[in-house]
Amino acid sequence: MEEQSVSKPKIDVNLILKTVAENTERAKIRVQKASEILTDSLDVDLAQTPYEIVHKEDRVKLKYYQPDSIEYKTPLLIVYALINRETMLDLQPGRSVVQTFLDRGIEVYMIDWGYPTRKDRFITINDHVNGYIDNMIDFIRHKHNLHKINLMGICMGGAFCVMYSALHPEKVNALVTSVTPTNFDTDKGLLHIWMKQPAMIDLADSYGNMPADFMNLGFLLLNPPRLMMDKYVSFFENMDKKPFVENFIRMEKWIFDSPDIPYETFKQFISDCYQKNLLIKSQMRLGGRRVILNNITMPLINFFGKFDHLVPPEAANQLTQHVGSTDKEDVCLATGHIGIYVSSKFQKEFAPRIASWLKKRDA
Amino acid sequence: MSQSYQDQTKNINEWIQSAMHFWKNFSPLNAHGDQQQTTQDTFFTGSQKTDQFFISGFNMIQLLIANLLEPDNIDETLKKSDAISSASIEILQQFTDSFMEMQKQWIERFVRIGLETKAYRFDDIDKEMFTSWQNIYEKEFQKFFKIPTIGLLRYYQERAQIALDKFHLFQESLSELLYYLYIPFEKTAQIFQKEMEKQIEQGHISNNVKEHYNQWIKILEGHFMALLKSSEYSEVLNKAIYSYVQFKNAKDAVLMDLLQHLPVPTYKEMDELYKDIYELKQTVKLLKTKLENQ
Repeated sequence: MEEQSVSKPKIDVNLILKTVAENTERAKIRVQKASEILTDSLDVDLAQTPYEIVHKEDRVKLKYYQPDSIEYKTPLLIVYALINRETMLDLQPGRSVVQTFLDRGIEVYMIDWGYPTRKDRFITINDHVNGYIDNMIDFIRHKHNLHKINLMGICMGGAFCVMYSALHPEKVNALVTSVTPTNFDTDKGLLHIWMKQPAMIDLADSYGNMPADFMNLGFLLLNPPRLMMDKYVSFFENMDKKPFVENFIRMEKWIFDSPDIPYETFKQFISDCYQKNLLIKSQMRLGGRRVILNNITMPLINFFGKFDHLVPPEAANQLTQHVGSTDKEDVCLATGHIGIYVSSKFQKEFAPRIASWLKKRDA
Repeated sequence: MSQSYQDQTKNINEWIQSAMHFWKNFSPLNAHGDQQQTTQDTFFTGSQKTDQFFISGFNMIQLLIANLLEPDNIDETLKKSDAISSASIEILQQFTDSFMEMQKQWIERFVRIGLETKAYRFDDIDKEMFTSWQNIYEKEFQKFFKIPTIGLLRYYQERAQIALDKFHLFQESLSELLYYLYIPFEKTAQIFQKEMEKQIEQGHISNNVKEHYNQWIKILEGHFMALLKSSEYSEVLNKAIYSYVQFKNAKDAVLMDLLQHLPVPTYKEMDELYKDIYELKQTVKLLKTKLENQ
């Protein structure tokens, strides 16, 4: 028996050594090619669609994207989250939500929140919603001589749009929300668990604002093996392919380009939303006024990702049940939080669908 | 005894005289040399004050030592020095005991590594290691940072002591958090090893390194997902953030003490100013709206 196991080993050691040698050789060739690519000029710029800054208040700017041919009477204002940057919606040619809207003939406005500094620590959600957003909307309304415009909110920006539409329904023609958290009473997403911890607010207070680096570290800790290891293993395996390297670096630039969040805004969002879940209960107050979701009577389309680990479906899919609109729709896409905007597949499903939906409601 | 006493007193006097001479010459402010000694009875300014400070200080030491070595006092002095030695030994003993206890815990822990880990479960984490260190710190070390401070600089000293204390507490909770983040690797290694053993025994182990990596990362991801959702991890994370904030605030307080002596504004001062500007802007906006509506 013993003799048999010696004469017939279960593992072919020679084969393993041969494979290792081959892999090493392949890695060597890959690194040589990668070296040429990484030292060559790379196209890694974000947000290449031309725009004009048409309005400015403090650090907040309003970008205007003009289509070649205007096909819609009502312009669209996009409100991005305070976390990361709005450049996600115009990542690169061929993967740009903004460009798709322009191709359809929609005039697009987008808020650039800028980079808050310590002096912005006292700015509240009320200042964002009833201050900056309201002023931007008034500017667009006057410019186009319209009573109402279309409003689209992404993630936290979506929550701001929900609050705005409840307080100023007379100024909103149609509302589009995308990966927008409105119900925070769920433990499906890790953020919903961690944000309930009281130390988060103390951290923001200590720094003046919520530091972007801490937020990014928190996002990486949502899945350390994939986001801190496997992602870079994948980069190493594909770094001899120029398009892959360009896409990868473009995403890295976007991910780590994060502004800090003003302290008072962060504090209220964590306290009122994540900890007390006041928004969906219509109990949240801004500037002394209650945010009553039933006041949202304009058409509403609500997108969310089936595999979104930041805003899970449970956090996003209750909005339509609480608003006063009769024209309302939930759309669940089989993707994650960012995939909706950047994956090739959803370039055909997301923005074109919004454009068609808005066309039908273009008063 | 008498001869010995005289010898000791003589030696000490010589040592004190030479120390006085050294420090006097060493002082960069001493521009007066021996001349100042003639005017010391009147008043002192500048470097004369420094010299006078040294002279009176050394005289006091000389007097004190001479007094302690008086035959009548020598027994008592020796008793006191015995007490000091005993106290030192006691402190050393406490420290050694604490260290031994900690080392014991660590050795026990190392022995247990790999024996008690359960896949995808995080309710069996050995918290004893950290609570034990925490207890040792709180019992044996923290008290030194809480010794009441006195005198003109007491608040500065107190803030520095608090910062040191908070730094230790932060290190402790950070170690705990890092340990939690390490556990999935430990559990994954064990499960992956078993899986490999199984494959080797069955004779169909893959020679593709990527396949093994994919299997390993999948197991690791599973363990991390289980850990990150656990209430134990949330508690440890919260504790780490809280202790970091405490340390940062304490460190900032010390830095603000230092900044007060530099021509730069502190965060505290700037925050007050920012708040004033913010409130003024709010008032202006309100008045502007009122004017527009009139």
